[in-house]
Amino acid sequence: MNLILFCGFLGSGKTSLILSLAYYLVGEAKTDKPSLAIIENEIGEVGIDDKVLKSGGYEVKELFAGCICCQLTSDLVVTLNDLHEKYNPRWVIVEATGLAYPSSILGTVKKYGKGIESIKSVTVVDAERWDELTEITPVLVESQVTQGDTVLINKVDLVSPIDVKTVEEHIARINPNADIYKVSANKEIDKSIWRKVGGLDER
Amino acid sequence: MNDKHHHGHGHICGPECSHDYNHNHGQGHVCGPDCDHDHDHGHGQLFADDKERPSVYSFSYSIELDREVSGEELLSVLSAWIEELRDWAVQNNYLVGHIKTFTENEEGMNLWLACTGRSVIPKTSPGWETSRIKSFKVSLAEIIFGTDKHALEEKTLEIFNRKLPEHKKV
Repeated sequence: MNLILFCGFLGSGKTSLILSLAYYLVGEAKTDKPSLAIIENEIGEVGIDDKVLKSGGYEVKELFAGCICCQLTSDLVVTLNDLHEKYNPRWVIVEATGLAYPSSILGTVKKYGKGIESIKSVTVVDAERWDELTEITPVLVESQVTQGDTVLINKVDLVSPIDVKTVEEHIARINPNADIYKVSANKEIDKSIWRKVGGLDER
Repeated sequence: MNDKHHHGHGHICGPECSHDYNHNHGQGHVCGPDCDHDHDHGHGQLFADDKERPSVYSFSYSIELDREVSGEELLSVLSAWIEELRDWAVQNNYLVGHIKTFTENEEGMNLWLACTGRSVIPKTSPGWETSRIKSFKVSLAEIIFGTDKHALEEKTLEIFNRKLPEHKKV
């Protein structure tokens, strides 16, 4: 299983981007075998994003009423290992809550996950709220950006090119090693981004 | 003192805590199945004061309307509900983490509303606008910083019941 972890603050557009990525990966899989599963984590007792993802026809496992970076670490491990034993899909996408620290999740998965061939971390950033969120929750936002192999600056259609450039430069300072892309989840995403995230060019 | 407890998001471990607070999940410690401490942690270090702690509220109801409405009418009513909730949060200087709803009609068509304190963004499955709806299932999940859960729940339901007067929960 190739694990793709999506993190990013509340409302940054993780679910919309996962729908786009999942659609692309399933299309590329070209197989009848289970190719993709999604693990959806919500802090509240009722989920919304799982319903959105299921309406797209995807296999979704739900982890509700807590955060997989701290409260539901064991549940994440059990769910991942269950997926490995029963389906062993080519890709597992994990959508964390908007308050999750990716470093904790990555640590858990690396230590306890079974059958995981590769792990990629994607951080989604809300360009429209970047200034506000880096002021109010700087520790969390920086932690999320720091841990991203890929950082997607979303909602670039809602802010000026100058502001997008400022966000991009700030992110590059926080995480100089990340691949940084500017996207709008409401529009088509460049397939080369999803190929890279899905590891399709590495085979 | 009992050191087995649940923090939830927002608790700050400190010297007054009865459990071993001397580790920090956000900065390297990872709880795993073999951890010997049985408690979970919040993200207290994120927030400078109580006003910045998140309140989480969610529900899922099956609703029956007194009269049939179009999908477009229901979209308008539910959008107005989320807009008023957003305005209440903004006027009180609360930070909207997100407000999200998912509504499904009897035919399996759905409506997804999302708001982060700015516009309410609707997404619908094909045929929603012209569909005729007498009953539906609506789910809501919201995270707002600065208020408390009780006030959030009360405000959410008060606006919902006012915007959608002719209905019953089934």
